[in-house]
Amino acid sequence: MPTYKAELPSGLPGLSLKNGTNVLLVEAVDATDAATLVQGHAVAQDDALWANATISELTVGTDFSPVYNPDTGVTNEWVFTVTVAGADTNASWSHTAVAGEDLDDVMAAMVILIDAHADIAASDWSTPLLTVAEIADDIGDHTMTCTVTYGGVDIAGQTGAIVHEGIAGAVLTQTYSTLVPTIAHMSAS
Amino acid sequence: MPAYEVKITDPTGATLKNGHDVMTVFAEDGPDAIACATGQNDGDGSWAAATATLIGVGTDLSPVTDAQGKTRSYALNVLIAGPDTTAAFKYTAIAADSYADVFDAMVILLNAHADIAGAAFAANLLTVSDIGDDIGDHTLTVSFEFGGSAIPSFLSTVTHEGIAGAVLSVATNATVEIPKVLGSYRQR
Repeated sequence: MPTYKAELPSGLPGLSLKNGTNVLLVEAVDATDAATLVQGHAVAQDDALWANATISELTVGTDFSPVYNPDTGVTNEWVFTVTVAGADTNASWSHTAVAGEDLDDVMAAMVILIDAHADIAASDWSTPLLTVAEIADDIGDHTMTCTVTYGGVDIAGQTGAIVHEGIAGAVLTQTYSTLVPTIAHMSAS
Repeated sequence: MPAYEVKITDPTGATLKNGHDVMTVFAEDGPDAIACATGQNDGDGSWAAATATLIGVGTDLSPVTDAQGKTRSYALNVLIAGPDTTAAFKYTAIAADSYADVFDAMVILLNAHADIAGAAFAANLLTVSDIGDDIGDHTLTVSFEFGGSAIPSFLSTVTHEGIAGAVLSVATNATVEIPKVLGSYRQR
């Protein structure tokens, strides 16, 4: 069931908001139901203002574009980092997602970065698995760390199963979540 | 991907940017939602200590009391109008009523009417009267409301205004997900 935001039009003259509320979040089958549900919520307050509320669906993001936060004036970025550490190879690669990049775009860029390393011949991305090193690269016994950060904070759920620290002749791999965590709404309670 | 309400636990004394102390975040889980909210605020420790609550649909049709103490209820209304029978029925859901509980209660109300014997509810269909009741030519109006406002998608096809020896019925929403007001906020 999708989530909808009902928001009163701004700048209404003489507006008197109960408890200062001008946004309602509702779960409803569709936007029409959301509008009527909001009306039902408002009727008991004898508040006809909500009949003019704007209904918009809150949706999960589709890419890792940087997000401007008007509260802080900072644009927050998604940064994907892979680090390999061990006896033979020590390297770290990072890619900061640019506007419009989805996970496939990000990983395509990451594969190019990784393949440029002398010790790695053919890294690969096949959704949702990033192969950092093949068997022939002979660094399967190395320690790998993969992170996805947003605004500099690690979002742990974006990375899944990791294969590393095995025998030298093994792969290094990491799975990623294909979904995009999204700040859908900010307000005061 | 589920949605979470991420709220600063105790903003007393906190300097809130733009007054915001709550975010709605789509994330894999609660910790991820908090991490996203923290990242959105440059690693602000207040957000790292926030509480994440899963936003879910309603599980029953209990009356809802908001922060201001106002209580609103879900209710099913059935109105029959015609030459032989004109009657209005209303059942207001009580605490913990399920979707089926509401329709079952309505069936009891309907069958208590002198002109109706065959009301029934099964398989997403409320039969208001059956062929033997002989009021199939009447007009049937059914609504499922919250706080007095009808929610359109709760109900679908109405069968009525046919021949007298026909059923009066209304198809109900096949999904049992319950619409819910999740929260009220102050958007700046």
